[in-house]
Amino acid sequence: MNISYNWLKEYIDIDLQPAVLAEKLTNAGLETLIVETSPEFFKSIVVGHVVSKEKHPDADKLSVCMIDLGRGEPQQIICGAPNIEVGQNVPVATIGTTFPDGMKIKKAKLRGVESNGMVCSERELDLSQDHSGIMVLDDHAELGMDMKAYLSGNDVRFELDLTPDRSDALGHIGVARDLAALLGTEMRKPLLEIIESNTATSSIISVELDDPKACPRYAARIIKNVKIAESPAWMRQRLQTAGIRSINNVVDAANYVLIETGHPLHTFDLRYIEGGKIIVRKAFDKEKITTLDGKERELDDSVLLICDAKKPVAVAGVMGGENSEVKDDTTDLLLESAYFDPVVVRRGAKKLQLATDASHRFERGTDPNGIPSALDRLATLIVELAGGELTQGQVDAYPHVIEPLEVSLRSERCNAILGTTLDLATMAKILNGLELFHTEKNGIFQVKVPTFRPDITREIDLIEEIGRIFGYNNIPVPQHFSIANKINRKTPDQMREKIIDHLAAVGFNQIYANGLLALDEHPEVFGDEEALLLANPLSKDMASMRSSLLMGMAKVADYNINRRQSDLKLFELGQVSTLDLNSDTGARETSHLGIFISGDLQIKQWSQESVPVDIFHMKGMLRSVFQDLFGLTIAFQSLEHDLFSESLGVYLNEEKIGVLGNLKMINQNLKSVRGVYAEVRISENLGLEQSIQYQKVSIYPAVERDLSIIIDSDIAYEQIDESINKNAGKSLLYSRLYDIYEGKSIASGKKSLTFRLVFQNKTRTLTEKEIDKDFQRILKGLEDAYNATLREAI
Amino acid sequence: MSLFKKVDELRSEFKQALASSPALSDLERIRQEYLGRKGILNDLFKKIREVEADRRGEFGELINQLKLDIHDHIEERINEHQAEAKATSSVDVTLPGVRYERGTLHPIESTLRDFKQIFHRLGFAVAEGPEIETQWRNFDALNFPPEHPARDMQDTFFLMNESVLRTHTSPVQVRIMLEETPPIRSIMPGRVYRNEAIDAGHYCLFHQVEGLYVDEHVTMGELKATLELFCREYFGQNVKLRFRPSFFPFTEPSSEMDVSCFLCGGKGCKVCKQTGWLEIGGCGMVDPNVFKAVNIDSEKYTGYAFGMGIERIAMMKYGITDIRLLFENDVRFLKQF
Repeated sequence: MNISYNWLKEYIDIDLQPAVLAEKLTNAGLETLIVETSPEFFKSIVVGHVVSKEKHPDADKLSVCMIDLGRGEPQQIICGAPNIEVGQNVPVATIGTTFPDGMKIKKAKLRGVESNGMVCSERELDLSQDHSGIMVLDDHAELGMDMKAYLSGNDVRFELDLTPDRSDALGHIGVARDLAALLGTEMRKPLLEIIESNTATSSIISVELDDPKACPRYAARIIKNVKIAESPAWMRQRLQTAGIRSINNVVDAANYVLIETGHPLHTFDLRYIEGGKIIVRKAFDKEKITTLDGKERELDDSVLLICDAKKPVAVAGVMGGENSEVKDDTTDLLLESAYFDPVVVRRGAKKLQLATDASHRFERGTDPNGIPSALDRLATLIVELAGGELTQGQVDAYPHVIEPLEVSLRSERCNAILGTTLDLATMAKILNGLELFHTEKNGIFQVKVPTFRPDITREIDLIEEIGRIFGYNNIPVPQHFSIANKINRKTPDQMREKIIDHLAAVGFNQIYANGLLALDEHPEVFGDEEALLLANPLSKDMASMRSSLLMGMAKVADYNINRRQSDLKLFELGQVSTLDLNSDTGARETSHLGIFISGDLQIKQWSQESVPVDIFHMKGMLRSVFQDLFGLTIAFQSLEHDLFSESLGVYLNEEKIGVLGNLKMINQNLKSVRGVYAEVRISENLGLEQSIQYQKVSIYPAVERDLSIIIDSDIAYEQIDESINKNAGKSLLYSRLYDIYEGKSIASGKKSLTFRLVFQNKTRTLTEKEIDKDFQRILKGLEDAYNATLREAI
Repeated sequence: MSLFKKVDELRSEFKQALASSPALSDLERIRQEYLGRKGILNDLFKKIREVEADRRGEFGELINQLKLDIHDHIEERINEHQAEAKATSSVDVTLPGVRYERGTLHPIESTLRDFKQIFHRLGFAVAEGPEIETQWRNFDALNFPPEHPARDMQDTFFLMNESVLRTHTSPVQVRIMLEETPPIRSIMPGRVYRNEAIDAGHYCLFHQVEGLYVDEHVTMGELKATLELFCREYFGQNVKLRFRPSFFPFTEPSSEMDVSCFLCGGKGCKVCKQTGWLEIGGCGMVDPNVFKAVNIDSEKYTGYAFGMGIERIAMMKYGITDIRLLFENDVRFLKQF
């Protein structure tokens, strides 16, 4: 909402710099910005008075004018416009003015005659498209005044960004009230002088409220014989600063009162109101009305209508009907001032997909008891601007009076919440400034909350008012404060941090991907996921929640690979969700870890060869995450999977927690994505405190033996490894596969595996004989089970 | 002097000669001196006849050993010199070091870590909740009236089953207040969703950190103190904080918090839109209606809550002007953090 500084001064005596005023309001919860209404270069364009005009000696279309700029001697300025005349006030761009297009006004000679400036057209000032002649200024133009001041009427426009609870501040009077409380001064409301004719309003119009819940109050007045005309300059000026287009004196008056009081009002042309009756009722299903914007709208019973005896004439609180609009030839007016239920107006506006100045205010709650005064204010203003006779009295349908709420406020509680030590007098003064009149006994205020403050219904709301006007920034900050003697440690978060740190430490880049995906972007990574669909997606591309991290990861990989960044080591640790009818949200969410590697894991350097990624890197990485961070052993089992060319299931305690493998092409859009991907569920209890117990390091030497065997090619490593460990005895510390060989010197269909076996005993040095025995037992086991033969040294 | 003693003396003289780390040329000279044809050792061999017959064998062995030792020592030294020379002459030490590439935390993660660390020092635990929530926890329990505009389809993503993608992390407040009894002191980080058109300043999802302290005697002054401490730690000791009354359904009184712009120091610049202030989040005292919804006695307990947007603060801190960069995950972007 826009506020005019000059207009505000009607209700409160203030003399603050605009910036100071804006800050005060902002700190009281009315976020205020100063808005520049005209461009900077208007400062060097001043009001000049044309003193004389003569024809240019050498050019027919040019005039040589003497123009008084309000400083020093009148200046000689050449002007080419046909409409310039002696006695006019005109905008003059003085020497040094730079226009936005870069044009600079300099002292110049035009066909041999000197010119000291330029008289401007409206188009040159970017005020309109009019370039038929120079702009002629009206009477309030003062000599030498700059255009900024001329156009703003020396006013300042403030833009208020109000929170939805502050409907009372949606008018100048409400803002003045807050200011009065802040500054500790008084405000004043407009004085009304009502002159009425002898005809009773009630003899012309009656009001019926069909639904007093939706419309608890409706008041009307009638003015006869008005003359529709343009509004006077002051009115147009005010509305312009408030950002409202001037239409005519009657419509402008209604808008003026809206911006002044925050009360939306409506004016009807009385000749179109049939049957002398206003009926406020819900619309019928499929009932139609053409609103002021010329659109025919189909309604249903969520919409409240203002009707005459025969037809709807307005959508209550939203917009008037075209059929009863005030026109140039209107003479008799019906004025409406009403209170509508905020929810009803909101539904109506939503149904019509309309947001108007009126609906904005009604939705937030207007003052049911401010209706008569707003109506009188409008009536007197119209009579002032458009003449006419006001009939006697208001017709005011108000079956159930809405009383102000009584709310008590304990001063002690107020200080306890705010952390202040305000005394009773300070609190009382703040309350009074806000017209929150009260009595006080034993430190407890009984406050009668006026109906223009629908946001205040409880003690805590009054405490906020005290705090707000006292100033949040004035609330003292304690030098010490206590913390709770209890901290709930939530391990999932710490556990995830551990995983993230580990992966980052070994060279992986963490990503945060968009979790909203198209419906066809749910490749079955786990096979059991059913994605959750959005009822109102932003677009088709984001119509569902991710059920795995793969798609987000693939898109990120694709983005990078297409930008020639193809050696990728990416991971994401995030939430995925699947349908779960047992949960109250209908969803089950789990943490997943997705890892993607592509290209070279190690790039080629002068001293080392490149290392291309493969699934064994991924196996090792997952093993490291679970084993090194959490002391958990995971197992892998090969499986068939549509998404991968080679793939493994990942198991923890016999439970499948993930998959890994070489990605096949996911879809046509992600053709570039080739690499190794793994995704595992990270359940919440992985991070249960791992207790580390130191193991004594053996002081006896470890002995290494290499075992090189030849077996059938189709025997899996895992089987051999298992056999070695089974037959090794207690002294085998570990075995490490360090070579696989097929080819020359090995029979076809055979392969050679070479292990380094490391033996050690914790309590004594092993003898050669003992090691030989272990070695032979291992070999025998392999010979018996897998027909292995010892490979001769080459 | 006996010849035997002479051998001992020669041995120690030789040791001294080597003790001064002779250069390669000196080593050659020393070799000639001891082992050359006219060297000391050959002289000594010639004197073998001067020794009594029964000890000649013993003497011969002694000088032979000395000769071998001298030879070995000199060879060893020469080898050392050669190795040194080789090391300094044939390896181009200006070759680049082997590259170890470090990984990176996403800037949202690192910003969140900074937050957690500071609040952890202030005794806040970390609590979490799901991204998909019931309307009751996301709205009703937080005192959003049924017709509140925030529930509009424009702002909230709904699932087919009426659940919502949480629009803020505040439903986690509801969860922990239902699960635990005061004192409750937690921050609640997490991903939230808004049904807004995507542009440089908006994304359909972002991350928040919520904070909650519920106990007896919690005041707004303490809320200010906590946030001031946080801002000084995070933005720097000279930062100023401003509290502006505002409106949130779940707090009363409610406030916005601004920090003085750390780019211009409060003088006004493009980033702070000439105001000198940057909005960093909202806060306030827990509304009694929220306490009612979670069965906490609002007469006995009071509490404060605050919330900040992680992306917004990360963007201010790192000078990122387009939020979409954070979700594009260009590795050339990621590797800068």
